[in-house]
Amino acid sequence: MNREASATARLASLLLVAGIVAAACGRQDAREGAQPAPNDPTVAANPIAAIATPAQSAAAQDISASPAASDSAAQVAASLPPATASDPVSGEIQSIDQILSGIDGSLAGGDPGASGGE
Amino acid sequence: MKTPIRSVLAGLAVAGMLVISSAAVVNAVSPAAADGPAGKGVCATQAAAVKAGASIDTLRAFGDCEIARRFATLNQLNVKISGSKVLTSSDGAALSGEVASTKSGLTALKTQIDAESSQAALKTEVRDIATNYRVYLLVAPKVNLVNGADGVAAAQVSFDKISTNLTARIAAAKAAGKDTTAAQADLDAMNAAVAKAAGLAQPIPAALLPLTPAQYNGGTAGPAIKSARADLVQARGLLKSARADAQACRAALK
Repeated sequence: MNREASATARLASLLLVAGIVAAACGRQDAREGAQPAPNDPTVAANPIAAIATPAQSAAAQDISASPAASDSAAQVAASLPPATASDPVSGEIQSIDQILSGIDGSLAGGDPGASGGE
Repeated sequence: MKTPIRSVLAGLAVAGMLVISSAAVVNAVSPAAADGPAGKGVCATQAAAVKAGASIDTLRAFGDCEIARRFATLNQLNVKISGSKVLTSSDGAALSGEVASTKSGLTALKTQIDAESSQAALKTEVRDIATNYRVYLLVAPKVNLVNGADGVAAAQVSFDKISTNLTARIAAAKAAGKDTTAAQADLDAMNAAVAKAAGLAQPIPAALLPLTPAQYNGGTAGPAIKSARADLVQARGLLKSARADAQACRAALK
């Protein structure tokens, strides 16, 4: 009974940590426009692998070992953004979009008139 | 029942630490936008006091405020340089050096201003804050435009990968008996636009990095900055057009 309760408590802790990590990742992605690092070759091949943190993956693995927790694992997986096409051109275009956005910022900051002079 | 309670508490503690650390990361990367180039009104009170009656005290307060404003801007530029994913190491080092030397020059000038007892000399020293360093008219545009130019070079690397990929796809489609005329035209247009953009951006760092405040005061640096900015605007337009060509080429192959 004690061992069962202990196992349940560990499982609950694990789920809590996985949920918090998933929420933290979602917050970070939302802040960055949900764009994964474009130069990472794993991104184009497997966007979910790039988004999931090692902690998340480990938690998902541990959870999936227990049949009772498989629904929660599915919920964690469902909270991740859907997979995009694995076309490498898409990854490069995303990277170009980020660079173009940076150039826009540079042009705004590179306008001497914007500072109103010295 | 002690063990499960401990486990739950341990889980909650780890979760709490994760929440705190993720919040700290988000806060750490949020840019401070309270001062810097946009904050030209930061010293308005001190400027008004000088206008109302120039004295050693009002001039010194105005000078100190203007120097502090520039320090804030230089710190922001440093963040931009160190956080840039596109600046080449040599351009980044040159710009960091320029920001550092500007800061040390302004620090020395602040020491001089704080110790000055002559009002006439203080007036000159306050003027030197702008004319000897040109933080807003030279240093900030330099950092931004060189960063933008290096961004064009970084985009070229991505476009080269796209070109290789689309060339292979066109060849495969051709081998399968497909008409690839439109796709090839799009790819050619993309490559031409990227080459033109790179040609416009490539000379910018070498043109801007050596410019000095004295050259700005002499009237030669201003036009160079203006010209570099115009080239970068054009290069950005070409890259946007190349991006559209890449998408059109890919669509034509479907």
